Amino acid sequence: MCAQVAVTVLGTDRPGIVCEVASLLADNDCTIDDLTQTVLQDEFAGIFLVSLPQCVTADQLMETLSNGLSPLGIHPYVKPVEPKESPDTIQAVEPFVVVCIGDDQVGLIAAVTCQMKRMQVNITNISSVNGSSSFPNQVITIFEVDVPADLELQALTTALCRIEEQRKIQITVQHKKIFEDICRL
Amino acid sequence: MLSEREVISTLEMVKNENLDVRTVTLGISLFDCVSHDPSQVRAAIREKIVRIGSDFVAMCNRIGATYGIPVVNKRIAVSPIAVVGAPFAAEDLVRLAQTLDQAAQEVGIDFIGGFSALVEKGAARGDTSLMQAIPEALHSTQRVCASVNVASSKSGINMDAVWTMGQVIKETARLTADQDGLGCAKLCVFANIPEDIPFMAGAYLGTGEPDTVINVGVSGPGVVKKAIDRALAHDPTLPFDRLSEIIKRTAYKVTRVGELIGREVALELGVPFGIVDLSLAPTPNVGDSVGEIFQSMGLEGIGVPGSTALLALLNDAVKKGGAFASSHVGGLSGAFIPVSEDVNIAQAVAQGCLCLEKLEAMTCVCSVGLDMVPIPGATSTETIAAIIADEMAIGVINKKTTAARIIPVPGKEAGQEVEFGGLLGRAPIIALRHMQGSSGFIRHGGRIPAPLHSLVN
Repeated sequence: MCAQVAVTVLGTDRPGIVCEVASLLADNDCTIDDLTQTVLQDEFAGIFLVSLPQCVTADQLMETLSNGLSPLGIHPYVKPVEPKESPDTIQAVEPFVVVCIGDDQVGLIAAVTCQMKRMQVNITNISSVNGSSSFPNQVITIFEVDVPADLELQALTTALCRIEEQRKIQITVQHKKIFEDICRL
Repeated sequence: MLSEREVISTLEMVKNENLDVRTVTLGISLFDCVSHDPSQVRAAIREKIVRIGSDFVAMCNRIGATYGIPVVNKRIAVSPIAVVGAPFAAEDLVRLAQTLDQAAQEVGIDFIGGFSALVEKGAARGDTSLMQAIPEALHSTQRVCASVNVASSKSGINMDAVWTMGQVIKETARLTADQDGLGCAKLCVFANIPEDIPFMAGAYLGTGEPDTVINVGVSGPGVVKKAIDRALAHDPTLPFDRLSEIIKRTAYKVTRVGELIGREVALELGVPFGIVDLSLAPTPNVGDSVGEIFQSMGLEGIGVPGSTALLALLNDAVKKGGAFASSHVGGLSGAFIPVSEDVNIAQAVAQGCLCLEKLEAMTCVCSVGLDMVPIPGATSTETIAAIIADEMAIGVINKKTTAARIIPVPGKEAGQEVEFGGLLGRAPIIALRHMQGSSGFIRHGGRIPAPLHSLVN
């Protein structure tokens, strides 16, 4: 079986970044198994899951990518992919959405996510919006999270309520299904 | 992955627009509680309601918290007591109502519906006993709701029952005079009553329903109003067909919430999921009003010319959007226009925009009828019965549900304010014209025949 690595690249967004990374991978007989990208303001980040040919190691690919991409202002990193957990060891979870609404504050994300970490709540997606018509001049931070099925939801909401009171913001915790059911056909 | 728009729009509906599930109603059949012995029936009824309903309220609260959607009311609807207690006298049925009240208190719900009879063609012994029992039953209980179906499109209008219900309403008001006739707020007279209404006071579990079932009533007038406001802020000249589309989409979202919560409760309770009643049910809170929608769409207030057309559009769009969102739609489904329960409609009465005649005209196109209408306490029994007859005729001829929940407020006159409290709200007493002109008509009795179901042009 071919070894799989995760290739991440960072750079200032512009046309051609994916082309340049993908071309280098192709030149080295690497197969792209999956990929995603995001652009945050002007900063580009991409992740490529790549199967290596027998003759190429992760370190060799890192060196090749660095040599090829650094002059273009793209910063690569290559990391071996760990074997997946067997289904027996995967913890049952329920998907929830945590939303924080309030004034921008230093340490807010840290406070919320530290509480999540303590409760083994895993963040699967995170985004932030500056204001909306209903919440003007406020920062809305949206965490999509997996909550362990054996965790009492009340424990999580109580813990987040304490942050809500301390920082004078609003925090909501809702099962993800409500958003999907309301907004999607 | 959710989009930011999906998350924020949902949050806006919950936090700023009063989106909630107005009621989750647990239907419980009492037909297996029957006996020749009234005390045995009462014991069996109490045992069954408490056994099935003991976790109901906590479960609704927990599921509501999981989804971040308040379940405002948790209620129970039972088989029509006139059938369950068919052999019994009125005083036995009053005691049975007290048992229902006690069971409701034990399981922690605020209303239990089903002190009901279906008499559109005629009254059997149990039906007669039940109608006789209603005033004392509503006087001596807190949570029991009563309903009587006196008409249907297939059977016509039972005018004897209409007259009886006029007397029942008058007597109920007298017995609860110290609470401004509050007992009448728990009593509905129906034409074409559905078997699966989750909303009080008309909720009961029909004879064709399963042993237990969960029915859900959604709400959301505030959500509809805000959606219209946003669209009109963007384009004030928006035509009605576009406004209808906006209401349909909003009704879809609101109904999806009810469907999701209802199915979860049903699953956890281990009972079948019945229907979603996709009604716009207002509360006395500002921002949760059907009347405010009329103002958003360009009318000075509900009741001015144009109101019936607008209500027709609203009712139709709510049904179309909601029907697409739910596998089983039932109950009343449409827009409610309860006077005291909607702060804006109550204001329209106070300002003279809305009179009883216009309200009655609007019930031709709304989902229910004359709802929570306080009238002068001196109104005669004949006049009350005649108002009921008019409302039933609208339902019978138009093949729709209509209902009359009118409250003659003892000792008070038109224009005086009455406060029922909580979700029942407050309103000025509506003026009636020609209050003594109906007695010759109403005393004919008998049955107004059913209409033709062909030649309908």
